Parts: sequence; C-alpha cells; structure tokens
Amino acid sequence: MVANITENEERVLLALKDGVERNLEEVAKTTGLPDSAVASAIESLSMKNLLKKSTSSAVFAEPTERAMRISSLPEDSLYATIGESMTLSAAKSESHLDDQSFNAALAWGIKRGLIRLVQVDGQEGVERRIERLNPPQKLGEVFQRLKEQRRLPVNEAPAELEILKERQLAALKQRSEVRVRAGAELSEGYIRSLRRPTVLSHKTLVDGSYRTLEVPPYQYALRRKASFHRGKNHFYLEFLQMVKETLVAMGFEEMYGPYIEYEFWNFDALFVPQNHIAREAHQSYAISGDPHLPPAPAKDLMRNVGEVHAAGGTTGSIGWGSHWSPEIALRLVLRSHTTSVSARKLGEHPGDAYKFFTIDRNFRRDPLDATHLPEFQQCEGIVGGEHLTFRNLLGFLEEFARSFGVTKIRFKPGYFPFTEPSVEAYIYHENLGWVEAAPGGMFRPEVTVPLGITHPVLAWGIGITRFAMAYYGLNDIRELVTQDLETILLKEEAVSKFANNRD
Amino acid sequence: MTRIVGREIGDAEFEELLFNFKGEVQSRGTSTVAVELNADRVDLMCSAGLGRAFKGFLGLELGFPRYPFAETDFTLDVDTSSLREKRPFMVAYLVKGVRLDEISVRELIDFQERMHQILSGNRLRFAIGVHDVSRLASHRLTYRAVGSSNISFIPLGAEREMNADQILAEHPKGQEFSHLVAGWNSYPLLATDAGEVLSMPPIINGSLTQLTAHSSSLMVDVTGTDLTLVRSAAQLMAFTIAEFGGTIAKILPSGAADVEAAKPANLPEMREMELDCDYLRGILGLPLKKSSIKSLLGRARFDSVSQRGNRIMAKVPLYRLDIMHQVDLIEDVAMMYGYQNIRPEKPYHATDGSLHTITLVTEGARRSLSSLGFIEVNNMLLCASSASFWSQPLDMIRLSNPMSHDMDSLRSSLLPGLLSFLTKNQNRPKPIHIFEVGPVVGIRDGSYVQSYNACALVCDNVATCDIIEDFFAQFCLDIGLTPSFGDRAGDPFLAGRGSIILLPDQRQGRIGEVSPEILRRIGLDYPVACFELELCLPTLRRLTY
Repeated sequence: MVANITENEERVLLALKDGVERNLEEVAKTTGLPDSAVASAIESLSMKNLLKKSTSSAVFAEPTERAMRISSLPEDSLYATIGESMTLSAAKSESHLDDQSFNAALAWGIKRGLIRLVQVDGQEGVERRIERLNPPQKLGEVFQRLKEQRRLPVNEAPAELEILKERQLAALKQRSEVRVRAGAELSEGYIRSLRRPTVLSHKTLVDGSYRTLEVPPYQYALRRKASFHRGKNHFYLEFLQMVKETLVAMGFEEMYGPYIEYEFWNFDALFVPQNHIAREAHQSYAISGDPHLPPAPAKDLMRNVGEVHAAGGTTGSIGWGSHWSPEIALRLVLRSHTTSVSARKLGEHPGDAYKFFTIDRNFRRDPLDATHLPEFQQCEGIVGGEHLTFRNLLGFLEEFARSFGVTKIRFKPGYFPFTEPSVEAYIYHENLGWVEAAPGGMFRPEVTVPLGITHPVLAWGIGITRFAMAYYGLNDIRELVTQDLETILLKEEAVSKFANNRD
Repeated sequence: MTRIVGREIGDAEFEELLFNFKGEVQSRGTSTVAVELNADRVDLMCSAGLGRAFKGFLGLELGFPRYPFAETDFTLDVDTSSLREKRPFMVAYLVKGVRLDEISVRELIDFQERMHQILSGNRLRFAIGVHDVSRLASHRLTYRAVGSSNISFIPLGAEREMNADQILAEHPKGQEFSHLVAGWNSYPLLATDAGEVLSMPPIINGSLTQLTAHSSSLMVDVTGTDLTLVRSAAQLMAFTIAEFGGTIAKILPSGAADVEAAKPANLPEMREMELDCDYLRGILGLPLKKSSIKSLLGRARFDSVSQRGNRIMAKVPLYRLDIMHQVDLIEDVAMMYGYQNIRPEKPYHATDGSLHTITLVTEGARRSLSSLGFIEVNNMLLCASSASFWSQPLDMIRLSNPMSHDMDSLRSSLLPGLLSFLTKNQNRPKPIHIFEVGPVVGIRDGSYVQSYNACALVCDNVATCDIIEDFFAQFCLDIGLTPSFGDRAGDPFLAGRGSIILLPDQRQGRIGEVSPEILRRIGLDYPVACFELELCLPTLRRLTY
C-alpha cells in the first residue's frame, strides 16, 4: 500500500534519508521542528513502516550549574594563560581566577601533568614559576561538549565524565531515548512522491494534477456512521401507503371519516344492539364534554334503524326485540372500527356499483402490551352492486392477499353483528403458521335496507396492524409507534420489501 | 365427546370440525381441551352442544334431535301480579332418567354460568336454576314474590337456614348479586306448596335440591325479565341435559293469563322461518338444488318442510337466538357446505380507483419533509393531556373513561408528541431533524375539528428561526403553498421568535423557536425550532368524499 505523508513527515524522512540512526533531538534540530511535532511524525511514519524506531534507556551526563558558570576547566584556562612559563603571582592576576579556583587549577593542572611548579633564581631572589608540561588532553574537550550538548551518553567518555562528576561539574541521569532511522535508504525523489495527493479534490481536478493522482483502492464494508442528519419516511406509514395503492389498483376509491363518531354510525346503523358488550364503557372510549359533531344522522334514518333493531322493520328480520333508544344512538364515542366509515358511505347512496376503502385509526380500551395497542389501523373495504355473491367476497380477499405475496389462504366461518354470512380469512405465514388476517362478510339486510341500499354489499375490515407486524417480522406491536429514532432508520423501505418478497 | 358423537374423534379432526363452527382449540389438557367459540353460538359452549352440532356436520344425524318427551305430574303456579316489576317470567322443564357423572355435572354448571355471562349480563336478564327434584315431597310448584321475613331456607353453600336479608347481607352469592334486587321489599321465590324452597332467583338455589353426580330427575327453571331470552335459555338448558339421556317434560304454568300455558308440553317448541332458495343462491353464488339445501339445513340440525316454488320452511329451535333473518340460515347452509368447498370467484366489477385528497396532500408533505432530511415519526392520536401544558390551537378532547393518564385525551397538535420523542432521543448525534404528518382533533368554537397537520422540528446545539425558516420555505415550494405571516405567536415560542402562519381556507400554522421554559420542563437539553401547519381542514361532510 502506498502511504501518504504529511509535510512534517516529509521533513523528518528527508533528515533521515542517509539511513543513519538519530535521536529525536537531532532530528528536531535538523528539521527545525519542535520536539512534539517530530515525535508525532515519527509515530505516524513508523506506523506506515517508513522508518524504524527504537527506544532505549541509557545513562547520561548533564552539566551542573557550576559547570555552566565557567567557560572552561580552570586548569585549562591557566595552561592557556601562562605561555611557556610565568611567575605564580603574574599567573594569578592574568588568569582572573579567584583564590579557590586558582588553587584548584594549580592542583588539577599538576595532577593532570599540564604544568609544574618550579623555583628559579630571579632578579628579586627565588621566584616561583609555573611551567607548561603537556597540552590539555581529552577532559577539556569532553567538558566543552557536555556544556554545548547539555547531555552526553556516559559511554562516550566514561573516564572523563567520571572525573567531571567527581569534580561536581557533571551529574549522571538515567534517561530513555528515542532513536530512529529510515527503514531503507530513501531517495529524495521517493520521499517527495509520498507527498502526492491521494484523493481527488477540487484542487487536483482544476490544476491538472489528477492526471498523476494515485488513489488507493478502497475496501467497502457497509460501514454506517451514526449520523442522523438524513431523512426517512416511517416504515409503517409507508407500508400503509403501499396497501392504499394496491387497493386503488384494484379499483377502490378511498374514503375518510371522523375519529369521534355518533354511536349511531359506529354501532346502531351496523345493527349492533344497544346492550352489546362492545358498547360498554370498558370496551369503547367515551368522550368527555359535548363537542358539536354536525351533521347529526337524519331523523327518518334514525327511525328506520330503530324499527329494525326493535322488530326487524321491513327487512324480514325479527330484530333484537328490545327497546331502541335514540338518545343512546346520539352519544359520541371514539370510533371502535372503521366500519362506521362504510356505514356513513352507504348512507350517502354511493350508486349501483362501487368499491370503497379506508385505512385509518380505531380505538379500543385494550391495555398496551406486545400484541395490543389501544389505537390501531384497520383496512376497511366495501364492494356494492347487483349480483355480488359470497364467492366474490372470498375472491376479493384472495386477490388482496395474493397482491401481498400470500398464496395460502383459508376461510373460516366468522361472526360479526353486521355481516351474514361472515368469514375470517387466515393467511399462511412462514414463521407464524396460519394467521387470522381478514374478517369480512356481506352486510346484513338489517344494515343495508334502513340505509336505502337494496343490492348486496361485501365488506371486510383487515387488521392491517397485525398484517404489518407479520410483514416486518415484528414481535412487539409497539414497535409500530416506536419512540426510538434508530429503529425507524434501520427498517427496510416497505416498497423494497414488497419487491423483494415477490417471486 | 366420543360418547356424545358416538365415535372416536382424533385431535386433527376435532380441530377441523371446530374450525367449521367458528371455533379453535386454545389449550389441551390430558383428557380435556379448552375451546374458543364465538358469542353467537352459546348452544355450542359445552361438549353436549358441540356433539349435537358435529353429528349433524358429519351426517351422522340430520334435523333436530328426537328428544323423547313425556308427561309429568309437576304443576307450576306463577303469580305474575306479585312479580310484575321484578322478574315476571318463568319457564321450567323436567328431565327424568338422566345419567350424570362428576364431569357432566361440572360441565352443566359451567355451561349455566356461561349462559349467564354471555346472554344474561351476569343474571341481569335471566337466571337459570338446575335442581334435583327427587327429594321434593310435593310436585306443586309456586313462583311468586314473597316478603323478606317470610323467606327462610338453607341456601347452597350454607349450613343453616337463613332469611332473605341474611342471604343478601352474608352469603357470598347474596353479596355478589344483591344489586339485582336492590330496593325490593319482597323477593321472587320458587317453592312447593309444602314450603320446600327450590330457589330465590336470581340470587341462589336451596340446598334441598342440590345437583349431584347421582341426580337423575332434574328440573330446569329460568326466571327473568325478557320472555324471549327466558324461553330460549330454558329450552337450551333442558335439551342440553337431555343429551345425557332421559325424557323431557315442560312444566306448564297454570293460569290462563300466562302465555306459556297455551303451549303444547310434548313438542320441542320451534319458530318457523321461511327460506327463499333463489335468495340463497344469489347470496352464496352457489347453484344448490332445493333438496341439497334441505339436506344441508338438516346437517345444521334444522328440521324443514318444502314449500311451493323455491321456498323452504325451516324450524328454528327457540335457543337459536342468532337466527334472526333468513341470511342466518343461509350462513348455516354455507357452513355445512363447508367454506373450504366454496370456490372464490374474482368478480368483474369495473370501478375507478382513487386516493382521497387528504391522502394526496399528506403524501406530498411527507415526501417533501423526508427529502429535506427529516425522519418521520408515527405517534398515536391518544395522548397525555399533561404533555400539552401550553395553550393549544384547538381545545383538547378528553376521554371520559381513559385507561391511563398518559392516554387520557386526543392530540390537538403534533408538536407535544414530537418534543417528547426528541427528549427520548436527545443523546443522538445532532442535528436531529424529525417530522410527523397526521391527524389532530379538537374543538373550535364548540364544534369538532379534524385536521391533518404537518409538523417539523430541528434540534441542535443552536436551532434558530432562520434555520427552520429555510426548511419551511422549501417545504412550501414543494407542496405549492404560499403562506403569509400573521401576528407574533406566543406559546410555545421564545418571545419575539415565533409567528402565526396564515393559509387559505382558514387554515393556520405556527413557526418559531420553542421557549426554553418548555424545553426545560420536558427535560430537553437542546434548542428546538419548528413549524406546524394545518394541511387539510375538511368539513365533516367532505371527509367521506
């Protein structure tokens, strides 16, 4: 892999191109970069295998404060001062050394064999003179290097540094040291090549350098950064939209209705008796206050429905045989099914051949758990016209299931107060087995006749919420109203899922 | 079940049979099975009833069962005048020569309770009593209301004689059902002229006539307020007991005023219902011959008589309360034909499909907002009124019987739900852009309003007016809106940073930076800018078009 390097790394590599090992301080000095910048460049280059780094621990000598105060060893100064020979007193004044240093200079000078003291007969009697012997050796030079470099590995001049230590001119310290050298001898050209850009940019595009651009190959691996700045439609609403489009393709026209409903449309017009358990307060939500919900059901319609409940009216039914109260029918309820919308639609006398659907919210007093939501969607459909039969109803349910890739469907007799014959369609789900999917039936004459409908009306109300759960493989219905952003982002698009499920 | 049907029935066959009668197996024990059935067929809710139905479906027996009838020396005197405001109706049957065991006694009692639950509103409309009459000295029964102080007997489950007030106050059943007789000063009592008490309906039976596994002379009494129900419940209970053998006798009330007195005692009482074969063929789409229809009715355990033309007169036992119209007979015929044998037929029924305007408008808004980088949230219409603690554009609709405080009303704005969503996701990388398009409801000027709104929120370290304005402007372009800005909006915005949005057709909206007080109160640590507007505000009449 071709590594790309930064400008600092380039400078460090150039400083090391001869292959010689250097320590960090040396590299810093050569490149003129601060130690920290060199350290990070070394780190990065060694990761790219462009240099070899070793860290060692060694004993170093450093000059003491006293060493830094003097320019050179006193005996060396003295040696330089006296020429071939000089009287003691003259040497003392010429050398500018104080008494202590002068005495030390004499003692060390003699000890090292640089000078000697002699007594000579002079003009004023016996003179004490200092004579040169041998020129200063390595010690002074080491001392100078120590002062200049501030740090010397002890193994460079062990004997001299030991003396300097004894003379309290050097201190020994244990230190670790980073040393680096280029992985191989590198040509300057090669180093420069590593500095070339490796991504296509506005600059490389415009200045033409893209022609020599060498971009590294990239290994894709479905990395997904946890950034949420992106849009996405909710999977469940997308699913519902797809169901709507499927029904439209089957020739169904969409309808809507109010969520707050007269009991009349939610129950009475559907031949649900007024003492039915579904109408009790523990099953349906009642509305507090008294919002005005215009228009109220027409008076003559109310009368017709009341008569059918009481004794069957003109339908040929015996009715429920119980008192029917218009006051109860005019109470408001949070609708418990979308069949109220179908009832309203039939009350509008929609013609002699029609198909309608609605997919919308309903409310039941079910506690919230993994399989129940107090608010859920139903997919309600009605098909009205002459000569429609129960077989046609089964045909619609089968076609609807098939449009979602369901091929196995079976029909079970069902019971709903407003349809007869009634059916419950079960669909076969790979994991769940037979799932109750679509209850339906033909509206009873007790429902259609009072609304002024004389032809058969096929009806069904699919629990589309359960359908969606099976579709998305959800085990918890609450996921459809998830409060977690990530859950929404992770879901497959409904349309794609639909396409993928097709044969 | 084997005993009742007369032959072995395997698990799979049992489930298949049950499926054809709208039922399914809930759970299995070692020798028992729990079954789920629909409320319309109470007559199936015991093994005897299921057996009766299965024998018909399997073609082992056709038509109504030939229960043997007999005469009886029991008489019944119903004092209707004393019972008028209480439980005036009573129907009684005697079944003699019944062979019971521990299991069948338990089953009969369970069946009785199921009938109370499903048909009677827990003894409200009628109450059933089943008695062992072998220990009675007298066969002359009276049913009348008796003053509390004149009632004294040992009730079931008690050791000593109790009077009516003691039973209502101290006996568990008395306590459970005392609300049914509240405020009365006399109580219905079924007794013999020798003073032997059978029961104090609808509260409790006497221990004298307690049913055991050794009982063979059984009496069924049903008392209540609804004669139709009383008659059908009594018939169902008597015929179900008769499935365990024995002869049936109806105990006719004396007194010409009683409608029951005119009924023949030695026949199963039936309603007649006419079935039009052409109507049946039209409904089912099956070209069934008249004779086939008759035969299928027989499988459904209906006797029937062929009439002139296309008509059949079916005889419906009183307990088949679900048979109200000939379509109910038609469904039974279809069930016996077998739903699995009915070939679905896709109809040629040409109509034009179309989406409602509300769907088109909301769909456009959803597409725009998601393409602008917002993530869609789906919240419920049910919400907590406490989450909308600032002034709302519509008065909130509250439920009078909520299940919980966090779902005690209906949202009148999308904003509170989305802010709550943000609070739960605020640790995600910023910015967070979310939206919802959906219905809100409320009351404006006293009338119900159902509006379809769009609401979009930007949540970030800084979320200012100009950021949301930018999105709003593009959104309006996308969906073809040209709004204008009205007054500065107060709640829920930071002072000076919110505005009313004015739209055609009296629609409104709001845009601005959410006030820090609201953010702090809901525990949101990041600023939010948002807009919400009414996309569709249909009148109720327009909703279904």
